This record gives sequence, C-alpha cells and structure tokens, in this order.
Amino acid sequence: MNEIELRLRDILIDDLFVERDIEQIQASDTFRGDFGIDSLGFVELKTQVETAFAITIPDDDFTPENFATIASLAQLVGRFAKTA
Amino acid sequence: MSVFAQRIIENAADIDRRIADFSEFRPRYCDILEGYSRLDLKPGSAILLCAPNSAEFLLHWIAILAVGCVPCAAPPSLKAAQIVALQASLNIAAVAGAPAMTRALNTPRIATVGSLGVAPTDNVAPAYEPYDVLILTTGTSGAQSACVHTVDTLAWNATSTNRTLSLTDKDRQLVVLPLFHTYGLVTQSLGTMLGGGELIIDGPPFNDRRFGDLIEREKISVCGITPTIARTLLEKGTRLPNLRSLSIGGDRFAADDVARLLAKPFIDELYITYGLTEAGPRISVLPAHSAPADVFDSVGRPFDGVEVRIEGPDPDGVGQLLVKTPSACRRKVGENSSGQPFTADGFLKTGDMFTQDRDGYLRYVSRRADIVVRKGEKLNTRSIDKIIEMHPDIGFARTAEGAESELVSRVWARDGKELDLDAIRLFLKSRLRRHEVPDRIVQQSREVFHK
Repeated sequence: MNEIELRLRDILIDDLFVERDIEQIQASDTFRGDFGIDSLGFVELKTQVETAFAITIPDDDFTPENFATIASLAQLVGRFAKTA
Repeated sequence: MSVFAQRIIENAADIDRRIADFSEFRPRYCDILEGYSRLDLKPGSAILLCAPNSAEFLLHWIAILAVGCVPCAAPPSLKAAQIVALQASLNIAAVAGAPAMTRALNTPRIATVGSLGVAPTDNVAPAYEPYDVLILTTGTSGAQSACVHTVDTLAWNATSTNRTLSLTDKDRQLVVLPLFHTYGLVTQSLGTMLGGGELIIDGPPFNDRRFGDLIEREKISVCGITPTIARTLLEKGTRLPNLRSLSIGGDRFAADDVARLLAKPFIDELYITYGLTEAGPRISVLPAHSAPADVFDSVGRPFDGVEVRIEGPDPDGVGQLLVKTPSACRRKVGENSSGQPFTADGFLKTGDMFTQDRDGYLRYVSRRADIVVRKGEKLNTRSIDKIIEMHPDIGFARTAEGAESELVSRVWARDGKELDLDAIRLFLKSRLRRHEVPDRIVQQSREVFHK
C-alpha cells in the first residue's frame, strides 16, 4: 500500500470503527462489500478524508466508482492533493 | 407454499435477469440456492443477511426463502456485538455477510455462498415457519426486535402499492434506498418481482448528478426516495430527466415541498406515502399530481382494503392512528418487544398521532416521543439509552433530540463520580451505527434526575 492508502486504512479503523484486523486490509478491499460501509458511513468517510488530507471532494466526485475501494479512493485523494 | 412465495421462488431465474446493478461480480441464482441447500438448516431457521445493496442481495433473500429458511435483512454496517445480540434475541441460526465479518463471529464453520460468507450457529432451534420473513424495526442497534411477516403479507402490500402507483411490467424501477429497509425491499424490490418490471439497484453513496444520469441512461420510469433526498434535490435545484413516477416516504414531507416538486417539469406523477414496518409497510398514499393543493399536507387516503381509526381523539381530532390491514405482521419478536402492537379487535397501533378529515385524508401530527429522524434515518432513543446503560460507569441515560436536531444524551453516573465522556463516546462508537451516536453527551447530577 502507498502512503495515502495506509492513511485511508487508519481512518477506517480509527474513525469509522471498522472491525477488521488492520494487517489483513488490502488496497483492493471494497468499502461496501468488505467493510459494510452504508450511506451514512460514506458521508462520514468523505468528511474524515477531507479533514485528514485537507482537501474538498466535490459532490460530483462522491460516486460509487471513486468510493469503491481503498485504491480507487486513494487515486481520487491523490488527484486533489496534487491540485490543492 | 403460498401463491406469492411460489411466484417469487419459481420465477427466480427470470427475476435474476430482471435485476441489474453495477457490481463487478454477479453470482448465478442456482449457485446461491445450492449454497444454502448445503447448509442443511432446518426449515424455519432464521438467517441474518448483512449485505450491501446489490442484485446479489436479492438473490440471497430469495434463495433463503426457497430452502425453507427465514430471511432477516440487516444493515451491512452492523458491529459484531450487535450481530451477537440479534442472534440471541431473534434466534438467528446463521449470519450471511462479508467474509471478514463472518470470520469475526468465531463460529465453527463458514460456508461461501456467492460473494458472502455464511456462518451457521450450532444448536439454534427453528423459531419460525417456512416463508416467514423477519423485518427489523427502528432502533436496530439496541432494540433487537423484529416483525414476523410472511411472504404473503408483504406481497399483498407490494401489489397494493403497485396498483396504487399504476406500476406495470413495462416499468423500470431504480432502487437507491437500502434493501434492509422495507421501502427498498418490499415496496420497490418485491413490487417489481411481482409486477413484472425491471429493477436497477444502485449505491451508496448517493449523488444527485449520478441519480439523474442513471434515470436517463437506464431509462428509469419509477423511483422512490426519502424526504431527505427530495429536499436535497430541491435545495440544489437538480434537474432530472423525465420520470413517470416518483414516490416519497419514510418521514414527514412539507406541503410547500410537495408543491415545489410538483412544479418541476420532469415529474409526471408524485406520490406521498405513509407506512410502518409493522404494517408491511405502506398504509396510505397521496397522488399529489391529481390532488387538490389543500391536501398536500396529508399522506393521502388508506389503500383499498385497509381500515383506519383514530383512537381517543382530542377536541382537535388528534389521536393515535390504528390500522387494520391484510399486510400487518403476525407478531413482534425480540427481547425488547414489550407486548404485541394490536388492539383487542385486531387493529395495529401505529404509535403515530394523526387526524382524519371528512374526505378520509390522513394528516400526521406527531411521532412517538422515543422515535426521532436523524440524517434521514429513523432511530429509537430508548434503544440508544439501553446501549449507553451497558457502560459499567453509567446507571441511567436519557437521549432526546435537542436544538438544531442535535442528538443529546444525558447520563447519570452509577456511583455519582465524574464520568470520562470521551471514553463513553468511544464505547458508543464501537456499538452503535454512526447516526445513532449522540452529538453531545452530558453528565447530569443525581439532583437533576429527581426533578
């Protein structure tokens, strides 16, 4: 995992209280299928990510595709972190 | 087997073709059915289904019915402690969910069915009948109670809704609401299975632009949303592609907002609905597009075949709404289901205060004090109190909605000492779903308790 993915993994454990063994979490794990994140969970995840990386994710990018896996979200974060 | 159960189960292969989603993995119905058959669970055994919104969710739900077991849909975000509590309270014989989640339950064996793990619990006797369906009630974290429906009661409600909303086999329905809620599961999904149309399942997360894109791209004709989503669409001025039918239900929706939505050129028919899990769920509907403006503040009139009564109305005509419907649940089960919610003459007590005018229109006045709506989700404050009171330092808790829709929990220490409120918050975050965690926790002195 790259640095952004590792930070996202920590957010899942520390802020969203996902009950998973941190060492078992993979970048390809899906938020919905593997972590059971629901609609309100996604809103919280977006807020936590925006705070942690000091970025703003526009509503149009708050999509199931961008928020599919740790890897896909890390790509989105990387894109906004570069432009911030 | 009932006629409705037969139709759903025997047409499962056809239903499989009529349900679409955007998942990369799509197991076949026959494989899922075989997976549940191999578990060898006794008929009437309840299976907790904690899966995200997807076509696969519905295939599991049907397959569980087909092998004579009883599906109980639950949020995929449930914590292990909540699942264990539900298992005990509802006599759950197996849990189906994300493989990592089922591994955390430490059961002797885990089967793989589709993309889910299924963890059977040994020595749980069947507590239900084949073709029963369990639906969790509001406050699922602490209440651990559920309504026992049958496929027939739910199917009656779904087909009544289809008829009222004029749904046909030509319709394509978009599901953006959770399938563990009755609206997404019964009204939309069962309704489409029985009505012959097609179902497209999406999300989360919800995004208004994607919502519009999907309606256009997938040629959606019918959709149901919550008042929270409807208000978001209005606030953002979202312009949607043309939609034949939009239904709104699950909470109060203001008359002004009904008028504002009706003024949008892209909605042909707008339906405001009212219901509750115990009733299967829909009770009444207001076809706002064909109704006079002076009833926009109502939830319409009861479905055909549904009787209503206002219990003990006050001088303003306000009283508890009682309902007699063919889709009422058989009974409520679970540790905290204090008695059955029926009158001696078979009316269901809704717990909601209503008026009914001479033309039969029902107007919602207030909700039971212990139910609040937060971020679009209903929650039971008594359930939250029970979880808070599980903390060893807390003797008593009272949760209520505060100013600006804040959720505030007042807590009293067991021995009068100063409480570590940060530690209590962490305790709650690990046991409650996110929207159930109070915004503020305030310690109260014993003197306040006695006031």
